[in-house]
Amino acid sequence: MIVRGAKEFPSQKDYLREMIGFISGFAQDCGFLSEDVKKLELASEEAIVNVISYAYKDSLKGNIQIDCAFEDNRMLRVDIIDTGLPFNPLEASEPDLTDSIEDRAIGGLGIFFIKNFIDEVAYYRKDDRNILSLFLKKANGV
Amino acid sequence: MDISFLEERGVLVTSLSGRIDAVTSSELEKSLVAKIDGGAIKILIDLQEVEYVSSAGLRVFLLVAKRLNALKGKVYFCSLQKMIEDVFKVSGFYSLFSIFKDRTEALSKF
Repeated sequence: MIVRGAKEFPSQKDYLREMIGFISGFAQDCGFLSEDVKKLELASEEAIVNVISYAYKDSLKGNIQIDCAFEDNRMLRVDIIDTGLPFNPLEASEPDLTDSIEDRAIGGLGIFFIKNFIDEVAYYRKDDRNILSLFLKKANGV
Repeated sequence: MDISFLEERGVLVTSLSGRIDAVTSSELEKSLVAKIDGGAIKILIDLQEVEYVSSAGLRVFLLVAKRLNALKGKVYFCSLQKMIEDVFKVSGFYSLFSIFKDRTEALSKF
C-alpha cells in the first residue's frame, strides 16, 4: 500500500518552514521516530535551500512541488520538484573537512548532509524539471 | 530561535534555543558579529535548548570562530543535544571546535 501527500509552495525562503513542516508532518503521520524526522528535515532544508539559491537563483519566480510517498510501511520517498535551471546537487564537490578553523572553507556542507543523514538520494532532470528524491527507511517498522 | 546573552567570568555566554536554520541564521550572525565588534573575544555558545541546526547555522559558527581566531579569542560550545552532536560530527566540526558537556565545564576551560 502507498500513502501519498503532495503540495506546491512558492520558491521563497519565507515558505521554507512551511515546506519542512509539510514533510515532517507527513513523516510523523507515517510513524517515523522524531530522531529520524529531524534527519529528514535537515536533508529537506538543504535540498530546498539549494533549489531556491541555484535552480531559481534567489530571484526567479517559480514553485517548489513536494511529493511524499510512503510504501508498504517501510520506505518514505520525498520528491522535491522545481522548474528552474538545471541543477544537480549530487554533482557538487565534496566539502572541505579540514581540521583547521583558519583554513576551513565556509559552505558546501548542504549536499554532504543530504547524502549522510538519509538512506538514499537521487536526481533526475525530466520535462524541464529538476527532481530530487530523498529516501528514508523506517527503522521502527511495525 | 531565541538568543540571550549573559556575561560570566569574562565570558560572553550566548544561550540559544529553538531552530538554527536558513531562516534564523542571519539574525544569529548579526547578533554575534555585533558582540565581537563590541569587544567580546571569549564566547561560549550554549546549545542546550537548540533542537535543530542545519548547515546555515554551522556557517555562522565557523564564521564566528574565524573572526575570534584572528583576534586571538575563543569560541566554545556546550550542551549539545543528540541531533546537534550528529550534525557536528558529520561535518567535522566536532574535532574543529572545543565542545564541552555543560556550561560549568566549558567556563572552567577558558
